[in-house]
Amino acid sequence: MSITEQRPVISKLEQQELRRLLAENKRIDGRNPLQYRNISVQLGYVEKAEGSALVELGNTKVLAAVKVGIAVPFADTPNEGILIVNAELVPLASPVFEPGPPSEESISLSRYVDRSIRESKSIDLSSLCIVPGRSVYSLYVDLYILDYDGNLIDASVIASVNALGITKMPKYVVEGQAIKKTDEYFKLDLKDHPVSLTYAFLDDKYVVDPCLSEEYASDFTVSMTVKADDRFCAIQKNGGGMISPRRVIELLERSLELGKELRTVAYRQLAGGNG
Amino acid sequence: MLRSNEQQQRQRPIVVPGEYVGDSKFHIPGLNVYRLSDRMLATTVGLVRIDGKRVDVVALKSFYQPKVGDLVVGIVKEPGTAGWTVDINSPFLAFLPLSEYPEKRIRLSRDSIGRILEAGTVLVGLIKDASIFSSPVITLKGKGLGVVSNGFLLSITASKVPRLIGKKGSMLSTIEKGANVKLTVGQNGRLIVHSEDLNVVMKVKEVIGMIEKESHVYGLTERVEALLAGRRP
Repeated sequence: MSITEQRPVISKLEQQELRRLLAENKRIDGRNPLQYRNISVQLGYVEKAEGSALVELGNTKVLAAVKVGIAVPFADTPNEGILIVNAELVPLASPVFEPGPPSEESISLSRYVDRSIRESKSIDLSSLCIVPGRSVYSLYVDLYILDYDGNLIDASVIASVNALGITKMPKYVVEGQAIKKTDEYFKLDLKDHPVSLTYAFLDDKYVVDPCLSEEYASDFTVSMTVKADDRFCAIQKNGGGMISPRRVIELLERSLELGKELRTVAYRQLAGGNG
Repeated sequence: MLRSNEQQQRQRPIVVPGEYVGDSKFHIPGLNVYRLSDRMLATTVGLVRIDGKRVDVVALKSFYQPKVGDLVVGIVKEPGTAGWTVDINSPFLAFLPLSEYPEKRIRLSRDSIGRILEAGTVLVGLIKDASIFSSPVITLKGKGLGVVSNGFLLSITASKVPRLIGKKGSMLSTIEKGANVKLTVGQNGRLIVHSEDLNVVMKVKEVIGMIEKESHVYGLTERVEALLAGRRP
């Protein structure tokens, strides 16, 4: 059974004012329509995790942590490592988040982040194989949404990539039938630094990086993930409404432009970053 | 921010749940305070306020508890059969019965109730009835009450509303004068800025943020005045 969470009632005043301001190319928090909020990244926030990052995008706060282990590979990919992304919408973050099994929103978020990382080929999963068919590295990326003020997708992608960028992988050695953990570590090789850009549509206008009220008042949002080599690896539209092909192409071009800027800001701390 | 010693002392202490706030031989427990034998303890994170014999803990953050006679800013959630449910930023959904809507001639056979007030409509109402047995009832009949069709909606945590209004409305008039704008403040922590100008709204927003964060620090009014005058406090 599908349970789609209801959005809280959004007042008509807010709807009306956001649209009126946007007609003058203004936004409720004083930004330009194509301006991101301030991004702050704290790397290595969780000591016990192999890699972690706390990302603040305005008032939205996301903590990503990577746990590395070894596991039996999936039968269809016997010589590839395992990457699993999980998102936890902590009830503390917003009155609309409830405790309990993962909501549709959280599954949609984690799937999008997963796609951004997997399809950008940021991680060469075949390099994470220890013994084909028997044991491979497993990477669990856990996202904790600590404060919700809109645009979870972009903040989560930035947090995950930053966390993966500093992930230390424990070295395992094969001794006969057994696999032993050594004290040595090596750095996870992150081949790409993808960024996601989310646009919220209000009537025929759109804004990038919507804040909460913009997200609630919007007709729908479109997220796009772009790689460092200007290729797209994920596009998703959330919510109802229609978008013309011409608009999609416009957004793609916009994303290439904004993605470059965003990449330099978001992954500044990752040494040797290709952004 | 560096403050002199004297100013620091005048800052009210912040307590956490279970912390001792006074002796029940000398004081009586007020808001968010309970008594355990002779000791009075806080039930929430907040600031201690002693008013005569009464000791209150003013919560740093709270939801609105409806009280009869409060002015509230509500958002229509859903039209029902005999009225509307209204979101008043509280754990309880309020009810606005048709009889409390000021328009006299409503024929339900002709007018759909959802067309009179649509979901999302912002209204200024008065809490008419609040008890633990039923949902709070609000009314639109009265001076200054009714539907709001223009302005910006902002919010502040409900426990800071008294501070935002100030003694006899002093803080509110300071803000209104400083930003040259009219404000409607609901006891439930929602306020309407009656202005079309984004700069004014941003300024009011900044002031509210300051009141929310620093209402326990000495000299708030001066700092609000400075902020409104464009000086960095």
